[in-house]
Amino acid sequence: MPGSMNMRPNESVILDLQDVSAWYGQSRALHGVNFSVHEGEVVALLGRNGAGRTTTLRTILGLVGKRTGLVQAFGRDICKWPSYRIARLGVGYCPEERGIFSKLTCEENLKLPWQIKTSDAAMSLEEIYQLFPNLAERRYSKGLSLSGGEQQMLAVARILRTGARLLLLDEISEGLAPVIVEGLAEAIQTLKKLSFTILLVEQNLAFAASLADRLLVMEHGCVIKSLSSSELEAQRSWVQEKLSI
Amino acid sequence: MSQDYIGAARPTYLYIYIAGTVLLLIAPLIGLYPVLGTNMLCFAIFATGYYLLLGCTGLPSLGHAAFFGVGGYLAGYGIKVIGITPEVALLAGALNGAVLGLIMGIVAVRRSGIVFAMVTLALAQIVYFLCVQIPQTGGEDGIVGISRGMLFGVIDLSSDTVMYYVTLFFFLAIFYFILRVVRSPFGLLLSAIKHSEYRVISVGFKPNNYKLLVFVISASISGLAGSLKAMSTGVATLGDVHWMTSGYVLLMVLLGGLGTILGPTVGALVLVFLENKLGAIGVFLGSVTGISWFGTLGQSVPMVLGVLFVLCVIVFRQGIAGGLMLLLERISSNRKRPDDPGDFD
Amino acid sequence: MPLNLFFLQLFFGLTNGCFYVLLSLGLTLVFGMLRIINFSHGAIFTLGGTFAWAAQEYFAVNYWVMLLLAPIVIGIFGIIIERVLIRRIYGLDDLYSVLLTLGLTLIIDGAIRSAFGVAGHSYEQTTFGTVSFGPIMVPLYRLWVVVFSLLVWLAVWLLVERTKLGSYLRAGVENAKLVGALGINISTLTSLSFGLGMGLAGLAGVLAAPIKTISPVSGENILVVVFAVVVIGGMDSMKGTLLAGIGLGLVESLVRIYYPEGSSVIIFVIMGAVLLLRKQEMKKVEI
Repeated sequence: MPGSMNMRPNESVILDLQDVSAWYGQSRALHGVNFSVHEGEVVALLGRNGAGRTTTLRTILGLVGKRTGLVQAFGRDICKWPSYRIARLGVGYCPEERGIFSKLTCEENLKLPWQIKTSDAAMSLEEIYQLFPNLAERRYSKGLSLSGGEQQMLAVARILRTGARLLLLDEISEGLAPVIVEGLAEAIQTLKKLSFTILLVEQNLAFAASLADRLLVMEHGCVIKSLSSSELEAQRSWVQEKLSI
Repeated sequence: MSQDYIGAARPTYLYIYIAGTVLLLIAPLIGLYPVLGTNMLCFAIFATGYYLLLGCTGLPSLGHAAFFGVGGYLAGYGIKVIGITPEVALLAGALNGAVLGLIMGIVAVRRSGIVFAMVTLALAQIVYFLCVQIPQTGGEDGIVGISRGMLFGVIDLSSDTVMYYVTLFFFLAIFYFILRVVRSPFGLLLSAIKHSEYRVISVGFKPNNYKLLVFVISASISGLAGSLKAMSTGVATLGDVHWMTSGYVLLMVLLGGLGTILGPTVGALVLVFLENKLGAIGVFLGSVTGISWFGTLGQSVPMVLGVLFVLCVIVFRQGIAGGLMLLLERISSNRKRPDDPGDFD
Repeated sequence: MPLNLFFLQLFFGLTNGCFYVLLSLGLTLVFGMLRIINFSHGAIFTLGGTFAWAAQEYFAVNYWVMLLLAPIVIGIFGIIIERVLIRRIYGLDDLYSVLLTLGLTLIIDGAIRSAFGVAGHSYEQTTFGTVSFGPIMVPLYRLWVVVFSLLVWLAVWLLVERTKLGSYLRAGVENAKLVGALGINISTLTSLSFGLGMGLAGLAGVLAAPIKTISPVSGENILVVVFAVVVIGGMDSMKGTLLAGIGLGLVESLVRIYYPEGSSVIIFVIMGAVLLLRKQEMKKVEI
């Protein structure tokens, strides 16, 4: 596999994918994906639409049709696990379409996900409202009436409440005003300091680059290059070409 | 819809059609009771017409018994009371299907899928209740003693064998008609509507018009089948209009195979045979296994049908004909094995 | 028509409407969560009544016990059916849910017929008597049916709108897979929903037993009416279900007073009109 991988010997591997393939019905979406993510790392998955980035996240959570290969999270082999078990292990998911339930209120959306009892990372409702004051204002509004930015904050907030330590974030900056994107970036920096492990799918290279320790470029359903953040500048034009910017 | 051919029949299937036709032609000579055979063919006609709607266009109507039953009533009442000739009775049956089908269809095709099914069911219930109340239908007793008469004044239908061959003629005509439709560009359009109505709209067609057309055609065929059946068995009853009959036809299509035009025919032949012979089969099973309960199988036809339904849905979705087609495909070519009934035509 | 008879007829319509409401609730709950149209709902209605009747006939178990017991037993039966059969058709075309549940109907009806005979049964129960509201005499049992049905509707509404489990159900209706990805065991949720839906149908069956003949035919007939009610009232609102069920029950009885032959078809005619007039929306599931 090309590119260097910064091995941090003191940190454990939180997420490991080896030769992972996935299918939607008859069509194959992932062709042997290999990478691993260490505790406390922020890794960005980059690539064009259709490269397989969202599919990779969905595969980790067991939301695709058929999976082969090895998927390990927190040291457990989760390849055959149902989604809810994977979530309860400590994997938090912010889907691409945000997935806010329109008929539930903001607070109901927040309280919906399963809280992991053994985790000390779970934030209480008050802490979340401190981190995202907008949500506190809108706590009794139905999901349908929240703005795009509020929905995105809610999507991130609710997995913080679960106590998940591995966060899978799918295009959270998409379609949001720059000031909100800044706010999200700050929130993620905070989480990084708190040793959350984050796997970020992003189209916005600047956003990803500002946060990620490592960037993985995907094409045609597999990872073609792994770059550390320091290596990015040198390869920037190549990366941009791969993202067709 | 066959993905590589449009308009051309695949050679292997041609042999099947020829063999099937020959088999049906000689059946009475090799021991098939003509009355049973005629009954089978009536339902085969019903089911194949229904296939046009369900298999090709993806519209699961639960109300087709209305057309079938009313076709029977019209033929019965017409022949017994008014004294019309058989060909007029058959025409009346088909026309009733077209008219009723138009009325029902206009309301029903505005929706698809499950809601479409529920709507057709509810509308058919209206027809059912009307049939219960109108005195001409004979109410609970129905119309009995329907004579067959002389077709076109020359063909004596009172002979069971002649009736069989006349019905066979209609069956073959309708079967090949639908086969041609399925392989035509129109059939391709129907298939497109079945798979993605939105896309069809996006290229400028109005699917509802085509859905309505197909609904009316299949309803007419059902009406014709109903008249034939009434003339053949001499009886038209409320049971023919009840939604259970619609379910019966649905089971035929499912059992035979949703993905091929042969499916409904196979399903109809098997199911009518099964229904008639279930008692005998039960006795046979009882004597072979020693379990006396099998002897009562004849009285539990609905239950057996229910079990068949469940089995077909859970483990046997491709149906009998579908399963055989799959086998043929595997032997003759490299087509990937589909999980669903597939599209074989 | 004398006034007291008129109101009595309307009241009968009200009780019928309550049965429609209970059955519609069960149907929409199952459809919302599982995307399954449960054609066996009518057979379960009959099963509830038959169960109550048989318990009384053979074991002298009284009505009140059966009112509690029958829905629970049928609910458990529903959970088993969901795990063994229904589960296998998730993700398939909607048609298969019709076919599977239709098959279940045939099996259940056939079993009832072969066990208890083809003729319907009437349920003997201690007389409730009547109560008077001014000039109008109302059978107390039917009053009980109305009150109890409304209470049940309220209980289900509270469950769905005000409890955590209810929020899981409401979210599951929108996006079941995502709810799973957020750590909720969807498989348990779907089993419970199906069981609850069936239990409601069974409950309606027990409630109806003293006032309607219990037979598979009555189950089949009421199922089709309930489908029409659901098409009219919509599948996405519990309040809509309540209004549609009660409203249509009343309309039915009104028609029965003035034009008895039309009463059996009026609901379908209304359904047809609603469909013709309602604008078609490009949603995944349109009612």
